[in-house]
Amino acid sequence: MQVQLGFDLKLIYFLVISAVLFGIGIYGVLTRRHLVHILLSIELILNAALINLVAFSAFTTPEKMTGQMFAVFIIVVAACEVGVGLAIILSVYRKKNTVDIDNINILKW
Amino acid sequence: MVITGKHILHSAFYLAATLLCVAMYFIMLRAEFLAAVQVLVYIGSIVVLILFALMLTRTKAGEDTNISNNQKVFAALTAVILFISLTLVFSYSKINTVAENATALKISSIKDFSGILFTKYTLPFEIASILLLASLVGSIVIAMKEKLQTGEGADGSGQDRKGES
Repeated sequence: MQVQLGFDLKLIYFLVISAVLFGIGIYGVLTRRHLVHILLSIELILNAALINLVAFSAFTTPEKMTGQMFAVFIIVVAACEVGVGLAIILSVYRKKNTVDIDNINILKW
Repeated sequence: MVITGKHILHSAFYLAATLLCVAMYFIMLRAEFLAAVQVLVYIGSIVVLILFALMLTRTKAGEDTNISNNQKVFAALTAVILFISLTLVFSYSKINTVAENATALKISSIKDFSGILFTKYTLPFEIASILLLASLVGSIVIAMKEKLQTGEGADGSGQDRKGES
């Protein structure tokens, strides 16, 4: 089944989109002070990597599907990371009663 | 908008919209199974888990929780420099693409996908399942430790995590 679009899809489009997502994620990680917000930004960065993997896979070796396999494993790891990260955030919140990273300095001396 | 939303709950919903757009890109790249996984795992569980965590940490609705520190200029500079360098690298590198456009690619069926997953990538699959189990147990332990000491009733996260896996 072939779907004809009105324009050609080039690899560079997907790469630029993933670069935009990556930049937004980096900005969010660097500026936000809410712990959960930082986690959201990390999700954005992971999604940028996912788009890159799938795009390269689809445009260079579409029959092997290496990138898609990798993407599935990345999604699994992202789910683990979010679960553990949120548990840590909950624990920190109960201990310090805040989620502002400027007030969490128990590792600093 | 995920980054600049007024309230962090809004940010979580914007994140869901962004992930949906990424799923659309996967469909454009002929990775339908991956798009389905993206919608199910990311939007169905990760965003919901984040919302649960927000409620457990008692974020009040209406309060402006989108606080940022005083490094905005440097962070923006870093992000823009990274974006420009990535784009330059992408545009100058000569990638040998088999297909000139994605519309000429064949549809990757779930049958092919599972065939490759369970023959060539069996060991990573098993390792991923062990990783899931380990993170499940770890997150329960981390979230429950305080409860045993103080008897505080906030035991939602362990159950959330179970539902996700």
